[in-house]
Amino acid sequence: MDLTERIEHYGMPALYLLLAIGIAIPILHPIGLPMVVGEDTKTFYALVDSLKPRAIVHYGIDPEIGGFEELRSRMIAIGAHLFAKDARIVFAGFDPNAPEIYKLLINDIGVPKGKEYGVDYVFLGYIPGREIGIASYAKDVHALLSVDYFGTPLQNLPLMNDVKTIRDFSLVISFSSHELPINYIQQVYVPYHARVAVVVIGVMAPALKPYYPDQIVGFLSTPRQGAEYELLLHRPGIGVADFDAQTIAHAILLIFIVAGNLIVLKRRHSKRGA
Amino acid sequence: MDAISLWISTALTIFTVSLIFKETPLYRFAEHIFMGTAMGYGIVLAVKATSDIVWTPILNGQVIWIMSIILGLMLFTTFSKKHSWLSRYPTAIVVSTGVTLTMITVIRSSFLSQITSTFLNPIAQPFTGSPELAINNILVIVIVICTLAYFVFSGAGTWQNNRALMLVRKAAIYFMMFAFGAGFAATVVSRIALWVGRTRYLLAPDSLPITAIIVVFTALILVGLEPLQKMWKKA
Repeated sequence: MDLTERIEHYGMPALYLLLAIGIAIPILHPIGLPMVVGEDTKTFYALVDSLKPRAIVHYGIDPEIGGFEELRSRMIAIGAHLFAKDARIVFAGFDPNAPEIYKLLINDIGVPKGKEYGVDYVFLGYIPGREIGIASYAKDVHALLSVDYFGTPLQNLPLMNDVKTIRDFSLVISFSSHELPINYIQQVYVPYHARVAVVVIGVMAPALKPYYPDQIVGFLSTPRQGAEYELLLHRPGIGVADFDAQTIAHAILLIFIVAGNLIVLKRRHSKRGA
Repeated sequence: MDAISLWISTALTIFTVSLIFKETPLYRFAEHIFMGTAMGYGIVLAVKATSDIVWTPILNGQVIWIMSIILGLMLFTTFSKKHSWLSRYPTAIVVSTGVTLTMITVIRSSFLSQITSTFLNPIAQPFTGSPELAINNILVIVIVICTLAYFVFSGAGTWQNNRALMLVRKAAIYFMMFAFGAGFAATVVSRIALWVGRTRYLLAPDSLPITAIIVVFTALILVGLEPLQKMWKKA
């Protein structure tokens, strides 16, 4: 068995093993690799930072549970930033995973002292119907829902008395792992010209990027931007902690991609020679 | 309760990852648990959504919502050969509502706005001050034209042998490969992020001892399962 055959044979288990080690080491002992904050992150940060006190923001918990981990650092950082800016947050989700993610998220964000449920933030739960649900929500929240996720009538929640249609929101943010942000653009931006910002997983970036900056005002699409946002916020969290591990994992993958291509080229060359 | 959920989530994560090496009963156990839990969760959520959005308003006197319950129940007639025609009505309402809502806005958001966003003037303001952006805009225009030409001028025809068109089509293939490659890379980045998150969870001080125990247990199953199965067959 020559070297290339050996690499081919043991390549896959070796890749997984190296990835596991490469990810575990920086999590146990952070390296602190240098990081440059990108333009998209700065724009998004400025967007949230420019909100007036008591502005109402829709915080769309729209990812599937599989996509949540990639979005987690950005969701926490942006949620914390909104609370810090004294914005009033309406949490709601058009994906069935919203209630479970909300429980994890609100714990991770850590509601600041003095913030009161119903006054400073509410959770409306999962709203079914996807695009139709978004359209109904945008048109009249109270016609669609009469209670929040916990069964409290909306008229008993002071924050919801200031919300009727999507026009009452200063900013609409959708955190998603699928095509729901496109539905937001179609049902929130086009008819009402509401300001829509989108935070998605990397896979969705090619589908959503064409809408930025014409139809959406903020756009984040990589887990690295979670770390960047934490740095801008001066609140290092899991984004910064995961950055080293992700960078090392990507470096290992790049090495394997180069090695794989070299093997293919060598084989092609030897076939031609034969 | 927290300790139990810690054990369960750690075990299910490691059982699922064990598929990298071999499919074992542990992996299948985790897979079945996932499917069952997801189904149960979905049903509970659907019932809660129906209760909150439909049932509560009915109790408050908004009887119009009874229509949605009737239409929802009509969907179940699809299981009856005699009455399955009834399920077409709610299906038609759902589809027509969706299409109407989408058609009104999709032309503006995903068609007209996309065309105006694509055909940018790379030398006009505000791009004059940013050479990078100007290059990006030129690339967008060139790539869109090449890719459109690839699909529009496909199939048999004498113009297929036109040298300029062949070059454009060849360039389009490379551009599309770049795009597909970027899409695939983004998928890998997503999976790595997921793996990093689970590793962070497994290596957290609370779950580290549990992780160690379950990793050893899973490794023993992975190594010992095949000899045990052989012994069982022989016996």
